[in-house]
Amino acid sequence: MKSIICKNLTKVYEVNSKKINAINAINFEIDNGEIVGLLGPNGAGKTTLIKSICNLITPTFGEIYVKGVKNSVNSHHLYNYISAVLEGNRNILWRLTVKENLEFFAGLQGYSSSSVKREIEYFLNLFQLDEKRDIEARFLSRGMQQKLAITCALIKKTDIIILDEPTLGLDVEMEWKMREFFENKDFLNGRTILISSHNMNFIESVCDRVIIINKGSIIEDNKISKLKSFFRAKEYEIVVTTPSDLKIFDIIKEKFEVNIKSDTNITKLSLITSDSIQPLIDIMKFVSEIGLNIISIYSLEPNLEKIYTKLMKNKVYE
Amino acid sequence: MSRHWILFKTVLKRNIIEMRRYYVDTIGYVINYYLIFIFLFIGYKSLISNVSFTTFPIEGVVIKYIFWLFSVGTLAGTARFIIQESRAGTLEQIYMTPLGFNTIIFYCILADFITQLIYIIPVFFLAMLTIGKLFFIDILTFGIILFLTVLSGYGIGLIIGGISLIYKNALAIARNLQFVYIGIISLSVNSHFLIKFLPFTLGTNMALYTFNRKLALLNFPLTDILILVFTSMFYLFLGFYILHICEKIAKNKGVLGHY
Repeated sequence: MKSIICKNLTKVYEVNSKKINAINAINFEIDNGEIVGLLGPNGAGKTTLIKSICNLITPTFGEIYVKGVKNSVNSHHLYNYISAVLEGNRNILWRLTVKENLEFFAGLQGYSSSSVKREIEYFLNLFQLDEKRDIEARFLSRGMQQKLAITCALIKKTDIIILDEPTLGLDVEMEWKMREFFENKDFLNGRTILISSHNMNFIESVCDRVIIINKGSIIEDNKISKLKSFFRAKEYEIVVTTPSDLKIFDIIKEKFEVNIKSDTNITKLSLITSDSIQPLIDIMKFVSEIGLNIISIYSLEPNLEKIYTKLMKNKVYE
Repeated sequence: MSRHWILFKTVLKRNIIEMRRYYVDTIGYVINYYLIFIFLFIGYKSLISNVSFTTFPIEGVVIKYIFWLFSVGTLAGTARFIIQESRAGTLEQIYMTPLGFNTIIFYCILADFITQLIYIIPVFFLAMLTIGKLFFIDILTFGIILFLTVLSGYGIGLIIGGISLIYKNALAIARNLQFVYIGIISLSVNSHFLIKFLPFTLGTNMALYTFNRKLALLNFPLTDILILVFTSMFYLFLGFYILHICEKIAKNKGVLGHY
């Protein structure tokens, strides 16, 4: 059974009698145990999509199924399976302490304080909230509050966890901890996780697959490894000695599609090729002929950030 | 342990924690409520010098004041609760409970009623000490009448809470209703039959009889008991129904958790 199925999901808002398509005919499925990243620029429709899955927003058209049941039909079923940390919301009760917050959210899920005692201790230690257990949430730093919000979602012990911007406000060390945590297969134990974030490094290290949306539509839905192999070895960087006569670069630019970055000693020629490596051979031949010394040649490994940027610029399949 | 019991305990525990933690606020409320009563009492004393004492018995002033405090509390327990959770950004988290939004709101109402008792019982005793009279209280009769009476108030609070889900700032309505309730609670059910169907009126009048005539619940006319039960259920279910409609509209507009 799939964890989440979105069928033809569309949400149209009416603002001042004007119709705005927040999400437009979105289709995807998420398998049990998958960790999926949701990427997109601000206003792409990520939060609308997340809130629609959580049944906090009713879609205009389309259907969402969570563990086989339509999400709007049975809240008992839905919230037994889904917990979420929503971006921009406080998610936690400011007047309660860290421990009281955890007990409160476990209670909302129907777990008594005593039945989650062990989990509470585990999470307090893991997220370094132990010393702050008796501090009211309003006195915590932004990062600590974010950690607490995530912990409150985890304490609900749901099969599906949705995190909207989970690394917001976290320091570097904590972000690493969070990465380690989501990479820990023992904890995940078949859980499905959907993470929306602008933090590409986090998504790349944690997720198996990314869904990229822009202007309410999915522009890419693929395994990160596949996306990387698709882009691999298509970008090269040739480092040459900088010539005394810089006009030579104009000639190179006329003959080849390259980006040139130059300083006094070295010059980097960046070349993006199609499937063939012929342009790389040609440019190497040419720079040798005009007397430039080739210092090194790199095949640039694409990272998710580069892939995302290219997809956003719509250059990828050109 | 049943999930319902755990949910109720969770909501009540939160109220109690906040009451204890912000004890200055808690004590402040009690003092405030008592001070208002003192002024009412002073006003009453100057009034009875002109009017027959039997027309306006002091017990009536105390009971009606206590019921008014509860009526104000019902607005806080529902409308203000929904608005504040929405403002704090936690409404959506509270919404996402497997037992459902209506269930958690219902338990919030029960927990709020208990919390109100903690605030208002000391005021009640202080009021009795001030007037120098200890009332005979049939706790069971009084408790049942009070609980049924305030349910209608919670129903109205839910309607305002529902409106606030869509239009966000509905606190002004809640504030104005506090004053409307003074009028409603002051009404006598003998002036017109239909007045019994207003929230608070019949219950307040019945509570007065429990003191004046020492009536137990079963000594009241059956029609009055039925009207009291019907009125409380009617307003409560109307409240839940309108809240549900407003929740649907808010979800359609995508503004459930907005503030």
